[in-house]
Amino acid sequence: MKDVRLRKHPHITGNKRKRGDPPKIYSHKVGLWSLPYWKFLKLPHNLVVMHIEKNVCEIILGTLLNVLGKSKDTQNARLDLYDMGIRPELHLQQDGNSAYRAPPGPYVLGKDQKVQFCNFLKGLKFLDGYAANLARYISEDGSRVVVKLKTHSCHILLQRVIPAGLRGLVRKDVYEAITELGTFFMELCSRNRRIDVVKRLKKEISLILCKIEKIFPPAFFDVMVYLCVHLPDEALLRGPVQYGWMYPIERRLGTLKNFVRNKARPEGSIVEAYMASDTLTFCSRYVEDVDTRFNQDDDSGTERPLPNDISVFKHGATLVGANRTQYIDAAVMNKLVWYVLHNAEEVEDYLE
Amino acid sequence: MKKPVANVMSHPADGEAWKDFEREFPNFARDPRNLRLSLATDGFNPFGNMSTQYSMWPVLLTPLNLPPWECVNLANYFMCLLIPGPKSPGKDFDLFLEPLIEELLKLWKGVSTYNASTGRKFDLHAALLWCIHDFLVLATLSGRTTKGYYACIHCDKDPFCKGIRNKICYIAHRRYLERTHAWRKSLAFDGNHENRAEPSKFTMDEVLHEL
Repeated sequence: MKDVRLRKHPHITGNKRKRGDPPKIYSHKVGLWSLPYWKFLKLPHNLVVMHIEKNVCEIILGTLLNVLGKSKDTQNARLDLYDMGIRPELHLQQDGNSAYRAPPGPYVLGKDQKVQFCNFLKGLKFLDGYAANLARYISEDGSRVVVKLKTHSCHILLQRVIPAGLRGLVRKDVYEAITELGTFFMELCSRNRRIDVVKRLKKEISLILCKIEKIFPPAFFDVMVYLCVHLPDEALLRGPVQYGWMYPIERRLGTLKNFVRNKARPEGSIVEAYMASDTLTFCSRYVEDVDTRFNQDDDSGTERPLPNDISVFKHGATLVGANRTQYIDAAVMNKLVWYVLHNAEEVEDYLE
Repeated sequence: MKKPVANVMSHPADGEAWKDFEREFPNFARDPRNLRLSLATDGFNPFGNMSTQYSMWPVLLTPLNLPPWECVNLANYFMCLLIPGPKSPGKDFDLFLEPLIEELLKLWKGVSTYNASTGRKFDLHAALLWCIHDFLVLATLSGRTTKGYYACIHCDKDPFCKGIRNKICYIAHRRYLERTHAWRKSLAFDGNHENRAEPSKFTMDEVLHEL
């Protein structure tokens, strides 16, 4: 690289938009276009399913539980309904002189239902490693969602938990629309996807979004909700969603973050540690008689011999977890000794 | 080589983008050793506590023509660039990518590589198939706007946003329904009928003209 200086992009030269000009969709030609094959790519940039799921889940949950600042059901949203002249039962109503009242929407949980829903989240038990502890997101009194949601929690919430928890708490059409959206994401994220299923999803998603459009106010539909329409198209182009989302990358960032030792020079320590670990990983692929990450046996479910190899102590089970010392009294000890002496094959020589 | 199963997608090789690329460049597709790469980037704060404003941007490359369990192996994500902080590069992302693009061009032409199994040298080619990043970075990395009326990257012509009181919303999903669908005539959505077709994407010529 010769002397380069950060500055405005060379392609951008005094092309400020004039009044009446059509909007500029592309701001400049980025460097990636200099790759000769770039213009033949069908899918140069992925829409990341992970972030879309997270945003959709946050919007739905915020509106359902009426979280301050997250809910899309604001006064302005009600005024929009008035402007469009739709759903008159939700318009702001004036009672008395100057106070306005917003009648509760069918998509907002009532006070008791909110507590019920939060208690449902609090009582959930998952398989080991399936999801984070969702109870941590609920406040002490069990009526609000307090902590910012993690992306993977949103993934689980949207696909499995919200549909299960909402049942019976909201109107049937609201429940159905949200459940169908959850099922859509669940089928989209499956590991072995069938092509005809994805083609079916492509038809379904517009219907699902139309159903939601009938229930929620227009302010609900920001660009992230809209992008769901294009996910099946991209899925057909890309293949399984696992090759185009951010989860593995975020995990990699986590390891890079752990490399930082010298807080004054974070970049330097990351690069140094990365080079070292990469070199060692590379070398370890060619080492045979040392235990490395790559020649480790898959030790789940296989029997490993105990250190003292006497036949009575072989029980065919894999021991997991830490050791624990336990003292046994003399009577039990005598029985144990008797059992071992009468059953161990190794003692037979001496008996004869 | 993986055997394709009819009607099932379990690897990027089953996707249309991969197949289309192979049709376009049969010479590249002939050698299964040629690498298909994906580029990923995201910013992060190395100091954990979010009170310190700092974001550095690693750029990771992953080969895609590996078996599925190797594709997600963290040892196969190669950090090829680390854009230093404390501010995210923003518009200057391009400049930081230049050395990488130079190398990608070299890799596209072919690099002499030693094949350990045959003991001979061959020309290794590599191509970038797609980028993985969040929606905000898409604007900097592709030059395509992701804000305002043209926010959706697949709807270049006639996008269906509507300005409401204090923001823009996207409420015309009925345009994706069939022409004869009863909901197109319903007044429950936004008080109007819906007769427009779905929004369309630019063809490659139109994109090149825009640029």
